[in-house]
Amino acid sequence: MRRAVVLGTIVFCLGAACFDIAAYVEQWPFSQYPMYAGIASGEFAMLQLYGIRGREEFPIPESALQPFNASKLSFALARIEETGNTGRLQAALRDCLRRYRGARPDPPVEGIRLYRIVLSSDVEPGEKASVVSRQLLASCEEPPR
Amino acid sequence: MKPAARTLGLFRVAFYATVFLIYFGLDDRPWTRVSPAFWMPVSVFRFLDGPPRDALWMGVSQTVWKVSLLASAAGVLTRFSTFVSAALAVYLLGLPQNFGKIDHMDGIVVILLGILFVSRCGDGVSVDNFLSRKIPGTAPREAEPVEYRWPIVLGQVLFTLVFFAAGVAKLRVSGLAWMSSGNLRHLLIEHQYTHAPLTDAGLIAARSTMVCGGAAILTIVLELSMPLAVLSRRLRWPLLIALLFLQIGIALALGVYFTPYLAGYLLFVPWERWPPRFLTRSRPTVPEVSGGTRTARPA
Repeated sequence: MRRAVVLGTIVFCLGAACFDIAAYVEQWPFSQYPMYAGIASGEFAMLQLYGIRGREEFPIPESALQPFNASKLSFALARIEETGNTGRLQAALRDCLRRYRGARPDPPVEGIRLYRIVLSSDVEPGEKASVVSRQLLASCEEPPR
Repeated sequence: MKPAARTLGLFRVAFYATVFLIYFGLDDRPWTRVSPAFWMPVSVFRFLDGPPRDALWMGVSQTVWKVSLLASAAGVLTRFSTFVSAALAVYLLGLPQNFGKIDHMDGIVVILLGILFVSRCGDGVSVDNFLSRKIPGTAPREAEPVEYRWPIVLGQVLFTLVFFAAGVAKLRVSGLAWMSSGNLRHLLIEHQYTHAPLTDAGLIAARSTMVCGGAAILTIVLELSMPLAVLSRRLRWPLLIALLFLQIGIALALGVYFTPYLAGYLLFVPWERWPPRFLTRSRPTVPEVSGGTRTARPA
């Protein structure tokens, strides 16, 4: 019995790890570890949230949207946007607005906008990457109570 | 106590203590307040109806998990504490992966916790073992040395496969073009916007075509070579040291921190030779001379 348990563990772990590598799939906690496998070209896109205050727009810092960090939030919003489910995207933005208001109540924000920003990394290191395009994907405006 | 049991026991102490320190600040309670709109379940979380909403239960779970890690390190009720450590790790380390992006830091820790639960890691260097020697008739049946070796060897294979997989993925998706200097240069610049690294090391490296090209080639070669760290004792330390430097470089240049992987490096420490001789070597004794005075050493 003991031998079967040990052998089963070994076969399961090695099998799952090798399967994910060979089939290029991800079954957490096993993975094919695809991070940075693609080619970074001269342009890259990122989703960025902006707060609305009067006529002013300002980028929302990820520190105000905990537990998300910038990378996770951008990925998550991109995946929701890809589904084409506008209701779900609106719900996600409302959630971000609510959490931003909770973290930074003053001065109050009137809404939040999601942009896809394409930047050019074909610049000298240290220079600011130039904005190639900026597209409004969705917005959520709720006057502060 | 068999030497092999002691070796696995020492690894258990170091591994669980390291995992405890790495995840001491873990707090999953904020995830209970994130909108279900973000819920994109992976793996076993697909069986849940939605994201957990009870922050109190989450707080209790993570406290129990941290206590179980300490109990596992000490070898207190080892079978039970290692089970709790592994089961709650799946839940607590897996939960953040269900909100749009899987981080590739914690998976190997969860797998290693599972392997240690199945193993007989409590047979050596544990409170359980100490007590069983004090109470007649409760000592566990001693197992063959292979029982204590397979968990570490399997852990080593899986740990090195992580990096091998990353190397294979790069070649599979991008081919040899991944090793071009332009690719790494763009990646280093992109990360200044997407990850905010703490230093300008990435920008400094991006200025040199030679550094970018060399680092890209070295990365692929190192990742694909990592399984040799299990097979070859001679290559083990050079490969592991190079990997550690690679991960430190990634942290400084790209702002991506592989802290949980530190627990994986412990798999390669020669625990059978612990403590090292320089810690245990006794001082040479000075011969006592009658009358309490030293005599000059004869020439």
